[in-house]
Amino acid sequence: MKGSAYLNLILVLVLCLSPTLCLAQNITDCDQLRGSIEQLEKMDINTMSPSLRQLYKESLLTLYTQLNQCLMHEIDIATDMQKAVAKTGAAASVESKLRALINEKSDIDGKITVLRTTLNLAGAGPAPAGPQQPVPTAPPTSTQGLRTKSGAVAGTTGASGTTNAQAAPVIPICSPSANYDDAPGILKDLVTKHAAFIVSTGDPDFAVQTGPQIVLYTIFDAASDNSSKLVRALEAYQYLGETARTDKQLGASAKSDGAVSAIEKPGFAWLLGFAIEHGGITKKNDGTNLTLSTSLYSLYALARKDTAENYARAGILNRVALAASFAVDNKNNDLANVRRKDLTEWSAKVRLFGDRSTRAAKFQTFFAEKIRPAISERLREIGKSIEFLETDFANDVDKVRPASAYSDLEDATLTPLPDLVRARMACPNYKSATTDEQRAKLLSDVILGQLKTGIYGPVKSGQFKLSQREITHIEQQSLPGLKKALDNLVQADKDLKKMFEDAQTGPLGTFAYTNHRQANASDYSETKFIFEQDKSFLRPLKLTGNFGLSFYNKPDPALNQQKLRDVSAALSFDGTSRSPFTEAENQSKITYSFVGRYERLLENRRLAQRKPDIGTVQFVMEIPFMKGLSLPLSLSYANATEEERKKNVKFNFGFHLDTDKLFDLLKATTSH
Amino acid sequence: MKKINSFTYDVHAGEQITIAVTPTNFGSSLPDVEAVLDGTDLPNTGTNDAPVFQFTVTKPVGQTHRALMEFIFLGDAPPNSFYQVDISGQNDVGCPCGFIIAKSNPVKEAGIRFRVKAA
Repeated sequence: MKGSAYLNLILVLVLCLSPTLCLAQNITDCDQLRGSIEQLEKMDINTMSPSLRQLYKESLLTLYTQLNQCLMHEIDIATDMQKAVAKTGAAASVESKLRALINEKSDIDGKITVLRTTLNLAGAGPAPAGPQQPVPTAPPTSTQGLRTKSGAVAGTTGASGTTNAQAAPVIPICSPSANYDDAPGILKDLVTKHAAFIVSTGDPDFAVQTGPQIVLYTIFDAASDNSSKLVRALEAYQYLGETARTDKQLGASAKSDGAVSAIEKPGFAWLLGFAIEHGGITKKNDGTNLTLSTSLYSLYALARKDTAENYARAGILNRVALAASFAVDNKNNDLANVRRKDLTEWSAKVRLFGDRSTRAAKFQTFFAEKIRPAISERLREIGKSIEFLETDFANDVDKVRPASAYSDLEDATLTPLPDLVRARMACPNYKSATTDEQRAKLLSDVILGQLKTGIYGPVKSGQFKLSQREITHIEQQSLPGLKKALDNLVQADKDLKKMFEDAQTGPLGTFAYTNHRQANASDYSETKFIFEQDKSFLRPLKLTGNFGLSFYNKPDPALNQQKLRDVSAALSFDGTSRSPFTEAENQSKITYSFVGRYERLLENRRLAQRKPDIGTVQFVMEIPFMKGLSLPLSLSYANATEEERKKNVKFNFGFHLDTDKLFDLLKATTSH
Repeated sequence: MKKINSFTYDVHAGEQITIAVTPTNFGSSLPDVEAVLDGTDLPNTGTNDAPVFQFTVTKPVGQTHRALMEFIFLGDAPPNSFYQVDISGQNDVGCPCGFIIAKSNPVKEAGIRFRVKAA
């Protein structure tokens, strides 16, 4: 078996190392090349001697390179065909073939890059497409022959084939090219985050998501002792505006069984997001009621897509929310409760005035004036620094390097990076790592190692020469400018958080309609105006007020009913305080409210056993514990109920598990 | 334009490049994208809800245009919100081109390289 494999290998090698034969194959027969490659790839290199293994890799590289050229030719032809058959019945199949060819070429490019790297060939990428520029580069520092002797990957056209990352067979490279554990914090933070994201998505292209930035930070570290000190003093950038969500609600109305509060809240602001993230409809089961809620916009978006543009187009649909509650008899299958006979109420809410979202005009103006310039300033500082290094050398008396040198240096390091990450992901110790943190560390080591060998080394050693003028610019303009931009962003973040909080406290007016369906009583409709104002004279307590009228759909005179059922009003004062029971990253707070409610129930007039004027006082509190778990409780006193002239005191409590919050907090914990 | 990877493209002098961004699943949260090309602000020629950034390749062969972008997710952005970035030029090879920056991605910025190659 082994002998047969070697015979095959030798035959393939003879075929492809013959210049005449190979030339003939270049353009004409991709299929034959594919067949030869397949044969070679099936061979077990572990049984080969080192010299034969070297020959094996070289011949594989030759075949890959020839197939690459052949594929380019076929892609050109297929592109022409695509143009010719556009808008005809043949367009789809040509498009499909073209995509397949592009994907195949992308895979081959990746394999070439990895093979050239492992073979220590100058220019680790696939065949160059443009004129190559000589690039001064790092000395070999790899323990695995990761870098070429020159370290250059100039003029590469390698494609990492993001979409085929899992399909492409990859030769494992199982250790980083160098150790750069002492990289500046701002660089290490970015790389660590990229690595964590690659672990979670499996997409190595994200290794170069901030390619120009990580190259620049490495140059800052290597340019001079002073610039290294300055870049190391920069704080890692925290992206603006990301605060944990602490509030959400749209349960059954205050009157439904199981509701712990006697007052209804506007509760609209969060609804939209939740309806969308759950595919249009949100489901909430409090044990007594199953509430399905949605908004007109989320239904509208289901038919299209929830893009910001569609949101802006949707107009009034953004203001209307719908909900239906069902009595729960089946605790095992929520949706089994969704039957007409179990419908206890349905409701609609319309936001009349006030907008607490970040789309509110006031918020947008603030964002445009105060935040946007700060965000752009940091990007500009980074961009200007790179631009200076790439183009300003022409003004430098030293003329230290060729015009394309900066791009070449950057390119030599970044272009093979996705493939190096992919190669690392193919290693046994990556696959056997037990935690995502371990896997992320392995990948961040690869990225940092590549930056160390490809950028830090050449700059530090002077192979990529920075002029004194450039070093001075880095020390006196680039880094101070970046620091200033980052400092401004810290202040902008504080302003943004304050504005965000303020936006949550503006007046909000909502009209609610609820249709109550009762099994053993007359159905009725309730209309309510709900007002909420946080910036009241009672601040820090938030004021919520309800005023409503309800009507019987079919009043029963025998039960003393008339069209108008009741008139009610309620007032609530809400407050929050920090919870001592939650984790550091959990911003959930203890919420509490004092509620007073008055109801004039007309049918109870002139009935000895009932009271028409019903007053309720209530204290409601929700105490968050760890990771989305909270304890809601309420204590209430009423001078009567709708059915009985009897004073009563009720104490309710339960546990509330918020799966969305739980998921967010788990993710936040992971990312920390 | 030819795709090298999601964040790297080969382009030709004079080619018009378009970066179209589609904020998705933002609901009532404000989306925002800022972009800078080679150290200078790249204006949004679309809208805030559907940003579009365009430029023409002007650098000489061998050099690189770099578009640095930051994608904003405000505190009320739903966990499943994301920006889809579509990049196009002329006679594109290897496309559809672009990437997605999701709220779940801890890095909310990107550096897109456009390497200028000989036609």
